[in-house]
Amino acid sequence: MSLISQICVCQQYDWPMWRYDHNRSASTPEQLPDQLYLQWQVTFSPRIPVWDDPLNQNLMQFDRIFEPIVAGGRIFVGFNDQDKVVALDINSGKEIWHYYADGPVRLPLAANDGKIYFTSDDGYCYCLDAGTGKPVWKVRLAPAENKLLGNKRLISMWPARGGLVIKDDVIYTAASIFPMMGTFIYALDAGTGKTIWENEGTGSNYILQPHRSPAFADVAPQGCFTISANRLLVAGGRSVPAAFDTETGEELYYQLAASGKTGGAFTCSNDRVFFNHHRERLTALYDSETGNRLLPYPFGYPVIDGNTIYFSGENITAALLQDKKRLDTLWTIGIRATTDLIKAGSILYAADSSGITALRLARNKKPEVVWKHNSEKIIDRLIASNGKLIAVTNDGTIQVFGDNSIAKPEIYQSPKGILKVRSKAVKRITRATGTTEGYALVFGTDDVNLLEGLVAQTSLSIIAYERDRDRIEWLREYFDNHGVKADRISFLLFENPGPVLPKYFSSITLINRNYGFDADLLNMIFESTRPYNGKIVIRTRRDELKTLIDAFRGMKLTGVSMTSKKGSVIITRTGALEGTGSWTHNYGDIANTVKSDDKLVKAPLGILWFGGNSNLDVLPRHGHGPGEQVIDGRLIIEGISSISARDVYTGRVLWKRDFEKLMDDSWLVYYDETYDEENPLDPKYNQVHLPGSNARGTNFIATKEFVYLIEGTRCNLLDIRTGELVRSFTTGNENTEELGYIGVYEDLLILGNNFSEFPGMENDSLRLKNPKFTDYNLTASRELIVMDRFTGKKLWSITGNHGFIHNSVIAGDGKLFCLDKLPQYLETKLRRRGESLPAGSRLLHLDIRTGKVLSEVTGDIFGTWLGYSSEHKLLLQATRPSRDMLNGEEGSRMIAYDAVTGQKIWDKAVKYANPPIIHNDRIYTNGEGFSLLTGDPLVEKDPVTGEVLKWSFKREYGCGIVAASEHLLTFRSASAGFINLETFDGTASLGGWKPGCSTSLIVADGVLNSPDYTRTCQCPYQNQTSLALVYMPWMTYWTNSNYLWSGRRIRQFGLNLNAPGDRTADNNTLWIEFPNAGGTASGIPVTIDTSGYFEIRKEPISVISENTPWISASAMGGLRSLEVTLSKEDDTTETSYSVNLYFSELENKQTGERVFNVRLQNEQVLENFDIVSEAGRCDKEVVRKFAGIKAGKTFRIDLIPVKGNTILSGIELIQESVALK
Amino acid sequence: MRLLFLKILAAAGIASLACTTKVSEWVLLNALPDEYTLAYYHKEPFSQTIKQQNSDIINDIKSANIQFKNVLKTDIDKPYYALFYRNRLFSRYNDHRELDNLAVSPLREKIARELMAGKLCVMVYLKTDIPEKDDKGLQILKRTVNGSPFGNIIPVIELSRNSAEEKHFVSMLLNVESDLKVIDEPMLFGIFGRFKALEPLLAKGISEENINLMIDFLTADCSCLIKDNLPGTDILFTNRWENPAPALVNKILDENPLLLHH
Repeated sequence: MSLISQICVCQQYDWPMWRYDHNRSASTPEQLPDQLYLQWQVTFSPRIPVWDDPLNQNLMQFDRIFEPIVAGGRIFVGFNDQDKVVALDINSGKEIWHYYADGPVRLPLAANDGKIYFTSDDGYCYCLDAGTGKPVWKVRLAPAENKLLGNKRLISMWPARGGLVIKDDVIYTAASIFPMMGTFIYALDAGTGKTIWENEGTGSNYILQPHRSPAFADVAPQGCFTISANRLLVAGGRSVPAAFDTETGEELYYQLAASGKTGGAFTCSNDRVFFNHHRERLTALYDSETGNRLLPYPFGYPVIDGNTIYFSGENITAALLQDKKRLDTLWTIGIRATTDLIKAGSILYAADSSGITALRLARNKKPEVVWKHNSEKIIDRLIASNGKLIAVTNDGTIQVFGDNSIAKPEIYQSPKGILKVRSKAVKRITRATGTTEGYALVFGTDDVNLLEGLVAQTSLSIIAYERDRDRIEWLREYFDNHGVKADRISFLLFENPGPVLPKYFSSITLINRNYGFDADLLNMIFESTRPYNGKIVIRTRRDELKTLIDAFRGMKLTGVSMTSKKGSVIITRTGALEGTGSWTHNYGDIANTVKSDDKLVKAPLGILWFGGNSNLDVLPRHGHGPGEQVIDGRLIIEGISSISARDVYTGRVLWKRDFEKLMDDSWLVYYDETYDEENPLDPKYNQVHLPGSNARGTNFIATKEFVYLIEGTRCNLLDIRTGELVRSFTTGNENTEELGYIGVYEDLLILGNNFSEFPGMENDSLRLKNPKFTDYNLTASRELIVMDRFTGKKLWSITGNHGFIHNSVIAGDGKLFCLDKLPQYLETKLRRRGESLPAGSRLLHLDIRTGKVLSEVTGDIFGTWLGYSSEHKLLLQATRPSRDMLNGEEGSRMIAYDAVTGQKIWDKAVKYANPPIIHNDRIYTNGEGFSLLTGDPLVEKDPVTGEVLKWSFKREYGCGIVAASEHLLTFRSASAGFINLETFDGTASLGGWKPGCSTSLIVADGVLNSPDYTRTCQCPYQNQTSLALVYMPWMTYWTNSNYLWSGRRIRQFGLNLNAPGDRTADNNTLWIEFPNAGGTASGIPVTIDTSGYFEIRKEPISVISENTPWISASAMGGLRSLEVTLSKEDDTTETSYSVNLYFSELENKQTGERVFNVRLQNEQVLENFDIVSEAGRCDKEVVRKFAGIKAGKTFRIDLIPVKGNTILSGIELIQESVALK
Repeated sequence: MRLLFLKILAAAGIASLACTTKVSEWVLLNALPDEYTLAYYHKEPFSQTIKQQNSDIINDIKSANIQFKNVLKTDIDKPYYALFYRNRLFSRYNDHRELDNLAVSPLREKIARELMAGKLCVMVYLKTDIPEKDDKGLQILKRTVNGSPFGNIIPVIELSRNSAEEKHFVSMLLNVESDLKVIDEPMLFGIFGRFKALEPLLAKGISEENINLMIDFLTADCSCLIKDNLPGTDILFTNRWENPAPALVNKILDENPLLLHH
């Protein structure tokens, strides 16, 4: 606790961190004067919180209002919109200094020993001199300088949102909010910024997620950290906190799955217990020792005064925490403390919508009101320090109360300047490029008028790089003083070798100065330019211009056009990225392949952007509304009464249009009466599961020109660029009551005219838990109408005998295929009752342009699904089994037809789930695969023994179907998951957020799109947000390979010591973690002897390695020997292996501090081996390879220490001359 | 130097890849039966007699998958009881004596014993008591079950739809689908798990193929899909589902791996 030196009748204390101290107790010993008067106030602007949706905003409240701290007679406050920290004089309100960071300052500051500390989304922890605002030190918490778009800002790929807490001159903080990107938790020396300990690698722990299903995703640090005794409680954003040992950094617990639908960033504690956020301002009580919940949620945000707890709320309640961690109520008083409650000396200050009430506490009796302040503003935060009471209101005002009765308090207003500058250069640029919105990059800031014009004349979000640090300061000041927020223009220092920018985000890049760009940087600038007409405008001096043009030309870029005008050259990134594909219709295309042809997206994946749009524009999750569709860089997604387009490369909302009747159309189809819009914070079950589009199909189609959207009896055509309603088509039939099916093939629009009704079957819902699952009258259309999709001219139509099952209406190679039959369950029912199926069921091949029947199959009609392979001219007949699908849709049979001859190619009784994915010559379902050409199960080689195995994969909990792209199968598996189709890898996790319950992990346009299709979900996943991922070769991923050893001779195998999970290397070695941590144990016996045993793990990004940092980033220390059983077969003979040993110095030992010998099969192969000496530094991989190592049933390695202890990261065994490919 | 040795042995073959528990076993172990609701509709305050009467009823059904509630309803002529399942009215009773043995009956006891003994299911053949209708189906059923490799673990029980002793059980079976009461045909119900009745085969639907399909379903691996969309109607019965005997189907499948299917 810091003591302040000001002279006063009462002793004064600083309020050096959020809620006073490391317990976040909100209780200071300082006694304020009895009567308080407004001294001054300053109004900035209301804060716009970082997250977009009501639930997120309630669970993570760290930047919803100003959160000042007080030290040494000054108020310090961070700004999330101007990226700065401001010091105000507590007596006068005058600004003393301000300091600009390189990113938003979202978490509360802390003060210690004359210094101010804060973190920023730029990935750094800053230390400033409290008196001058001058930087003392600045430490990067992020592992590298890479940037991405996060919450609409260009920030670090690992934003530092670990709201720092200080105890005993040690700062605790963290970077990264997505476990899949690695998390970095630190204890830093407050004086020097030096690392005391760092916890890396915890983010990849394979732990139970909500729904008690595992994934590689531990805590995602976000929010103010708290300390309870020797436990660092790391705020987990939307979840309960994780506890780490303050001395060692070891993780002690993280009760994510056990916590249920509760958690949030708020935590406060004493040394025995902590309170954590639930909903609104309620908290639950937890045992600090174990993290177990002691009492559920009746407690308003508390003030903690040792074992006496004061709860805020409609009443104030005092309680005593007993020895057994039970709470005994002492008293309750009818004073409202609904927005904040603090304790200063013997006074409780309570804030509510009417103002502030001060209550004097007295022993053995209820407190009495001693002071009251009425306020028209909503006071959301109180602070008592340095003789003052500080109130923060929700409109961005800070009010300071003191004991002087002042007739006219100072009222300050922050500048609200408006830039009215017009720039001819901007006019020329926007005219030439047509770009006025999106993100802009600027290199060189000499022309301030240009920058002003970009702000005033466009809606661009501008990031300007400048080489001159002083000029950056000046520009930040200048635009700040004009009231321009940093989300409109921000300035960053250009330092060689240049920034590490995200791909694809910049709609326009202005190069005003050549900062000595080399080919790598120019390539990065080009890569950062948005496909589909992103521009690079080169406006440099003529000599520089030529150099740059030549350099760009020398890069031999594809998909580029170049024009020059009036001394400027415009490079346009035309069209789509090479190798990408789109995703239209509900299943990828009109052929129902459930596959994107995108080849760009493959493992490993990293985040391109996150946040920036709201799930309020998306249908509730369990209604299983239509999945998103992606085409030409736009992601189209449906809401309850709206449809909107988002930029797949930034998440930016491009347009949103509301349609009155859409809500009616979707009622009881994509949502029902169980949806509760009014109570987004209520953890009750909101929106039951519905079959939704699984049965009904989509009601919109995205094309290059239009979005075709069914609204009642009309099909609306929205301009896909603007969302404007261009026209509406009708069927022209008077009998049209509703439109059912919708599909687009080339220039044709296919509409289902009226839903088919199956009379007499509707009431058969008695047997079902949910009658919605029997509403067959939404799954088929009575008539199909084909029209010109540009003119609406009707070309032909066909009426069904029963109904055209929507999931079976597909097209390819000029044909339309469809099933005209009863829904599956009805057929099953008739069969159960021994009744004949009604006549008229058929599989039709139609000429899609004329409607001519090319083929009509009436035998073997079953199922509800057709898929078509244009490559193989094969038509697949199946059912569509999945979670949340109509009863009766079991997958038990598939038929493949030659679509040219109509001949049946194969007919198999196979069990499957998931709509069958047609992936080139294969069919993938949920967990299994088949040959499209033969129907036989897919096989693969056992990666360890070479035996032939049936191809399969395992998926953890998750709604939604499996979808495919060229390289991946994507699906929800606890968190997001994927299967790498290139190799035997197992099920990989992309941990740290909840993908949609409806199908939403869609690869298209070069990114893995994951729009937030989780509206109404209350589960405490680490993040609830939209995001997109791209191929990042240096990024890490982990899998649960589910590998089970047969006991046959091991031919190729890697043991990844202390890794969190499995992974296959480029040479096809399956690396299995040891000890087992990430899922199924392989069954390969491994025995170790140790002395001074320890385990260590870092994030792979922290280790230098050409290809395999994920092997060398973890290790077991103190190994003396390790023995692996290579065969359980009795007749095993000796054979030769190549043995590769992986080392890295992860404990920061220096040369000579760790030296050991290594023996393989009792033969010494390394003598006096010193990793640092070999590598030249710590955290760098060293691989030693040994050939011709003979081994029979077992393989043994011995490590004999010479100095210090041993350490080993990985062992790879490859039987010589039979390596598996 | 003193060496402290730590030995870690990685156990072999710890877990299996997929859920290999069979549907019948998984449902018995895990699927809690849905509750019925017995409502007492009344418009007058309770007399002491009614209180006692309802108290007796509650006592009779207290360990069954049913809840009791009183419903004040002013627009009724006289009080009555109504049995609901999943918000659907199954039966209405004007006299409390009609509720005798609502949750228990000899046949249900017997079926429950079979299920708890590890049997795959119990085939309940609901007869019309018209031999011309009943005999053929029964023969097919017996022949099919006898010919099935699982025949020994599938007891067949005949039940008359006119049985007074089993009237509640019959009523519940005839409520499995909405129109069964008006279909005067023999019906075959597969009962499994904690007294869950599958939709019946009836009339010509009682065929070898359909019976084997039912057996296939119960002997298949229990997938998440099945868990999510578990078919069947729970029959009202006193809960006694703790510690069932091991599922006998596993022994048959272990001895005959060719019968395994997923």
